[in-house]
Amino acid sequence: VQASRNTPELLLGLGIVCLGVFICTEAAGIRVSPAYAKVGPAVFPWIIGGLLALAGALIGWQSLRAAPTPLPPIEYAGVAAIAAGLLLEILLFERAGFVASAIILFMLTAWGFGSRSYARDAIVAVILAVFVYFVFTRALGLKLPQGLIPL
Amino acid sequence: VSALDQLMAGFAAALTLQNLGWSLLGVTLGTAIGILPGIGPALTIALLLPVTGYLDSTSAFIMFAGIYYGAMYGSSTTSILLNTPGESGSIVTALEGNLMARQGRGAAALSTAAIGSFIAGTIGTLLLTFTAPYVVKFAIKFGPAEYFSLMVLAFTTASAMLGASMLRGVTALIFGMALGLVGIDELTGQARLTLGFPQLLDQIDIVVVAVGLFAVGEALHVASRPDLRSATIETVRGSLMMTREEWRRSWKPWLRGTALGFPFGALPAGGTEIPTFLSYFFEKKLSKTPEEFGKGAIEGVAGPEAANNAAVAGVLVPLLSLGLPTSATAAILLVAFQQYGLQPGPELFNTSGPLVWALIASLYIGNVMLLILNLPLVGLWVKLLSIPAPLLYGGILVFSSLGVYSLNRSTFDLGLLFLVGGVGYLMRRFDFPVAPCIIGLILGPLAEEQFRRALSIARGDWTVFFTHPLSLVLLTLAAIMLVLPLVWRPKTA
Repeated sequence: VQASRNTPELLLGLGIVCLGVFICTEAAGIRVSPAYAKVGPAVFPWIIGGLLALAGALIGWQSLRAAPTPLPPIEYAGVAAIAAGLLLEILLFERAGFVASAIILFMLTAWGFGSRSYARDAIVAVILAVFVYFVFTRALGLKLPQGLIPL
Repeated sequence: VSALDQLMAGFAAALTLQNLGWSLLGVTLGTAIGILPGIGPALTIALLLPVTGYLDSTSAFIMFAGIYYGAMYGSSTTSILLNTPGESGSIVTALEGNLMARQGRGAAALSTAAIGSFIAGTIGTLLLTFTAPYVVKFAIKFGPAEYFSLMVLAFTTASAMLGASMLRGVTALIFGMALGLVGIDELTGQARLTLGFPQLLDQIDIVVVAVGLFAVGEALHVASRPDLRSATIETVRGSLMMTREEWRRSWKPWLRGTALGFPFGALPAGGTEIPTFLSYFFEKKLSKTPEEFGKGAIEGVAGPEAANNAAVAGVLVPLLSLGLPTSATAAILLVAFQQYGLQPGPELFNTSGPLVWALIASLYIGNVMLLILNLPLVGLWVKLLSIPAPLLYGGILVFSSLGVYSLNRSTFDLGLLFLVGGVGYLMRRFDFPVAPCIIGLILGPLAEEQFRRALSIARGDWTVFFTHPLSLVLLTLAAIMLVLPLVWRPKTA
């Protein structure tokens, strides 16, 4: 059974409306000194928040009016693997170092793209991570967290 | 000093051994990322920005321009052999090009694409050379009200032209502008939309947004859809030397494609896709044998490929002479200029004339390099297509997180990258175009600056945008751009 795209689009439209309203409430909270009363820092946030809310409402309205259209099926495991790789990267980048977190991100992404050649992926990941680390830190003189692996 | 003299000085600067090297590096890298799916010129230049701070500005821009031009050449190879375009400007090329490849005429398709790209790129660069100084003379008279109205026009055309639905384009654009609001307001020093994060005071870095939307969003999307990955690579068959018949059928589409592509790129009309669709449509109409379209007609490759390269040259006109980016890559290039403390616009030709003319001269040189790189050496490039997708995307994400981290050496930016990547995924899932978001992020703050400057000069009188004649004309054009798609819909594409 293919999922319909109308309901998720309605939710998306509502989400955009909420974002627009949020920007407007933030705009209302900006203190405007009298010197800038006419063209102060709150004018653009008000306009953009209002337009965004309007656009979200139109998107939601369109999804209510449109005939049910299917949304192509997706593979959640792949998305989850890559998302996990990126989240681990945030946690590990400075603690475990660039090389270790890059290897993990690479392996998880490859898995998410359907690869089950673990040995090949691991070899490529290690070579890439170590090579990039040396080019960045030695040739370009940029600083990267070294972490657990002494290089 | 005439444009020709300045161009000659530009050639002298671009032809130094060092700058030839940067140009060659740029066009080679550009061809490679054009061929590889999942990575394009906007993403590549964004990832290079943190590293190129060390480079001399002229060399950096010569390399960036090479990447932009090279990507257009490379992506046609992917369209023809893989039936999935390397970049959005080559979507149409896949229609006839891939059919030609399946029939054993792949070499001829690659030849007409490369030679057409060369001719269109060279004519487009010539037009850039001679129109940009005129646009500058015109733009010198612009005040803040005119600039603001020009940006409104660019906003409407960018969202109307890019993507399938105007509502979605506009939404993406406004979302980008909302991201552009985050940070300290430069005029009053007030924090806006920072949610209490001190890291957000200094605005959201364009590199984080571009990498998140293009690399992370794309990786998540392609991983979620195994059906997008099952493509077969055609081998290059036939002779790269086109027959007399193929030349005869190609040269007019090349010139017509150029004539369509350049103005579409140069007017604030956004991007390289529309002229390729129009070119395909015209070639089919003008053909004496329209029944060949859909079965591998060489005109359907020659025209659109010329159109997208001419459009790239066209995009540089408003970017250099007005400071107005009309494509995602142009928006990133604008940021690159700002990184070097340069502001594209009429003043750029006065303050940094040598840089601009060296850049333009390098485009002529880059086109020659690209013709040589892409025709005799096409066999080498094809090997890039056999890189397995898991390794390719693994590498893209490693480089993406590396580039984003090295901006401020902060994992906060990696968190931001993750969030923007999620938004990029949702945009692809629900058919929102990504480019207007990047354009909104860059142009939004510039538009606000001009808007407030215009209003404070006019002492808060909002009618200033309608009483200046030029500003009124630009706003009227913008209104027409918004209304036109509602009343007139082309039947094709």
